[in-house]
Amino acid sequence: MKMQLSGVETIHAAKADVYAFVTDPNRVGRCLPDLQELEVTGGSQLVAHVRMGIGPIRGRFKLAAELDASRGEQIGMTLKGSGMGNGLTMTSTMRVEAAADGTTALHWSADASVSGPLAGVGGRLLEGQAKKTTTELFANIRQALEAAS
Amino acid sequence: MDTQVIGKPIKRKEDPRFLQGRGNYIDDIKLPNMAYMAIVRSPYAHARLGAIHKEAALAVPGVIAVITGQDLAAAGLAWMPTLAGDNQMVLATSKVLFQYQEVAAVIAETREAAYDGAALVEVDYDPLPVLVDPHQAQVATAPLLREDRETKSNHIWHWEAGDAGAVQRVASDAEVIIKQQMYFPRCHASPLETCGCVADMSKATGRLTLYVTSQAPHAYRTVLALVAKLPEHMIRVVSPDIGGGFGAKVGVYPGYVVAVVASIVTGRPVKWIETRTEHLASTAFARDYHMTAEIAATREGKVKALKVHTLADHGAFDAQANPSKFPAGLFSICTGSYDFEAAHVAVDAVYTNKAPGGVSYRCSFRVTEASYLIERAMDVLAAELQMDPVDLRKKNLIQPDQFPYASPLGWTYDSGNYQHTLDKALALIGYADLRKEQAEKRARGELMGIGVSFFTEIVGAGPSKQFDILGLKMFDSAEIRVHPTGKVLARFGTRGQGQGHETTYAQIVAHELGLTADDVLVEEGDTDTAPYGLGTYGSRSTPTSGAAAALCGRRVRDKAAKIAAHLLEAAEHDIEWQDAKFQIKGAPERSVTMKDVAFAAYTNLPPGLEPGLEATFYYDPPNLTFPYGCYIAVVDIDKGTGEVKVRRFLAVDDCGTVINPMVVEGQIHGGLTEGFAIAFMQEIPYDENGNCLASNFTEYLVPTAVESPRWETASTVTPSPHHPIGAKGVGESPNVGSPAAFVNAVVDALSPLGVRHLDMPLTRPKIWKALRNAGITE
Repeated sequence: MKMQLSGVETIHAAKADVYAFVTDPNRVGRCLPDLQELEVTGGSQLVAHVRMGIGPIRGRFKLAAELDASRGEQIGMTLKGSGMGNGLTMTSTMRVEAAADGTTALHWSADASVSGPLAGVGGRLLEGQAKKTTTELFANIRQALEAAS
Repeated sequence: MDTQVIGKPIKRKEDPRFLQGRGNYIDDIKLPNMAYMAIVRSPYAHARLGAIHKEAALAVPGVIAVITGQDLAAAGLAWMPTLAGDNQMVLATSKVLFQYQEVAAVIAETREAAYDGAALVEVDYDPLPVLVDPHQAQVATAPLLREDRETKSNHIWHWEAGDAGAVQRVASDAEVIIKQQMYFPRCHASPLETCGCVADMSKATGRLTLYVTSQAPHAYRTVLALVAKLPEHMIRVVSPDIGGGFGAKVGVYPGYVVAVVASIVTGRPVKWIETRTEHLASTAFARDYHMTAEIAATREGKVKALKVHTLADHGAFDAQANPSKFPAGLFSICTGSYDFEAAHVAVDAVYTNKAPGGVSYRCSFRVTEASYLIERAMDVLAAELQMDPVDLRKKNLIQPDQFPYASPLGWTYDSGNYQHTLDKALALIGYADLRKEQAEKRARGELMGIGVSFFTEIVGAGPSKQFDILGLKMFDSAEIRVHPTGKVLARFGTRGQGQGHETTYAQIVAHELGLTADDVLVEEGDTDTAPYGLGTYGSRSTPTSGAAAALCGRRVRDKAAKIAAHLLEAAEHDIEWQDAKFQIKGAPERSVTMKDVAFAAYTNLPPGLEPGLEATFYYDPPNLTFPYGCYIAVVDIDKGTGEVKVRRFLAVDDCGTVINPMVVEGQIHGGLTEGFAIAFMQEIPYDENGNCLASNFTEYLVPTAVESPRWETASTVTPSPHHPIGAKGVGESPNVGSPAAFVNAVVDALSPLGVRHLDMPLTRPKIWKALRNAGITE
């Protein structure tokens, strides 16, 4: 099952701060919803264990993510995960944009792909759940930034 | 004593134990020290396989071992041959080719520990592009799925029958040609009991006993001997009571092979029982034929030529269980009940990233697809000619004096009186009145449809000159032992799965020996005791083992006649078998029964005669049998919701001599219910990533008594001229014949709106959409 998701978070923080945050695997990793364990494995890489799923298919997933800050204001994030016999991949792009009022807009879009029983059994519910989880990730980033500022 | 046993609706001998929950199914088998197995399956439809991490699973309390493809490869068992002559991975080694493919197995003290362990086996995958649409299998950009094969292509085979040139000649000056594409969706038999086994390699004796849900235990034994390189006499395959098979229990599945290896590795019996999801998503799908039919005909409605092309989606491995010389099964029965001058059929099979399988679900080796194709195409032609579909069929039915009928696709139909059966069906349903009612309803804007299907089946595979599976000729067998007190143990090479063999075979044997069905105990399924046979599928049991039962009985009777002559103090040529007893010709008052003879066979033999009274018979059928029938569905469609109500359904079957009418009726009820499910609710679709979207009973629907229509049944009897008792087989007829009747009825109802064809399953949303497309807004 393939999904395209996108959104924008308006963050009360300076653009430079937002940029620094979303290129730091240690800080982005902590914003993953339902995080259980986080290990930063390199300057731009992390491995996380989260508890996720739909209804009865819920359990521990291992996620490996890599941030790509080589394209200036376009920050890439690829994420590969597996758990409970499921596989998921997500390719995401973030763009930071300063607004006149001093806030920063974090535009994000993501292509997600799910394989396994989650896609088959949870098919009808999956899109909503994926949207919820992804939205939560970026909302967590906003909250973390605003709490820090 | 009532000597007329054939044709009696005797209550099924097996039912008391089934109805009281006292059957002995695979999961009822519990051996001392038995371990359990769970299989780790791929979440990806196509991916390179990386490392498999066993540690976390092995740390689960109770887990004994984790087996991977690499472990099997070390023993040369990572791949196995399929019944179709392809190779299939037992456990994946380098890549996975469909979602839910077998990747590793966890053996544990309990079932729960095995599943807990399986959830913790961590597998590294590198996803590859996925091929889901069979139409894209041969385009240049398609990923190559089977890198193991010498032929670097997703095309598996091309097969054809008939005369393409003749079709072209006949069609070139045809007045009318119709062409219709239709898809018979991928579906699944999904019997109540899933597949499973208990493998028990005895360290003490070195002998392997495999208890397994198998419709063909002897074939399993031979395949196991070849695959696992075990001496065949050191293998015993036992197929206990089976909770429905429908073809889903013909193939040899990876789980069985892994369980055998696990038993060898652990030195313990190992049980593996599929979950419902494993069964639906990895084991023996059915159909998946993308078909195009063209009929050339005259303006008056005489059909002349039939041309068929089919694209067959076989999934990741060609694992269908077809006779070896017939890769598309008996699909070339697709000229059906009609007299075509010329016909040609071609099938191309391709690999996709889907589960393997292909022949199951009461399909009679692809006859379901063939029958659906021709019966649907005939209705499309009728619509084109603006003819009543019954009138069109009447014009083209093969006539009684044409039998034995040589079809343009190479079959010789044994017998039939089609017009008689059609007339009976039309009279019973009140066809003329229904058409009148329909005309009135149409005038009021109501949607009522009448669908007719006049199918011809082809069953009883088969004659050894044409039919084999992996070289094993498709004969079948019977063995009869008459005990001194006149009671009989009869064993067969087939394996019933609920068809009522224990009753129908008993009736045949009793009939031949002048006994009652209660005198005969029928056994099947244990390769140590049953005579060799190819098993039960393709409606072959009665045409093959049923024939063997009759001829074996006659072989016993031949010897019994010698003993009877001795008892009656007469010459053997003066003895005749009459009214279920041996009597002296011209002096019927001097007679002995089979019970008298049986006792004498062990107590009072004529000099020089070998003691005992038993025989074995291997029956090689001279031809297939061709059951047929006329099915009529009447439906009403709700314009607001798209709901179809099957108001009436009549099945008039002709399966030749009927051995037990109650058993036949039960078979037809079951098969019609499956046909109804296929027509209206069942499909196994895949998304673009190759995710199986019908892997459980919330998505893959099985009708209950609530949804199922009321079935009306009737019969005509045209015996098979070459079967010893004239029987033809019936198990698959209702699934073969009914889907077209349902679809024809729905399309007939929607035809005033311009609908010419809809693919199954005819779900409410699909019909609702067709109604909206036609401008209905109620």
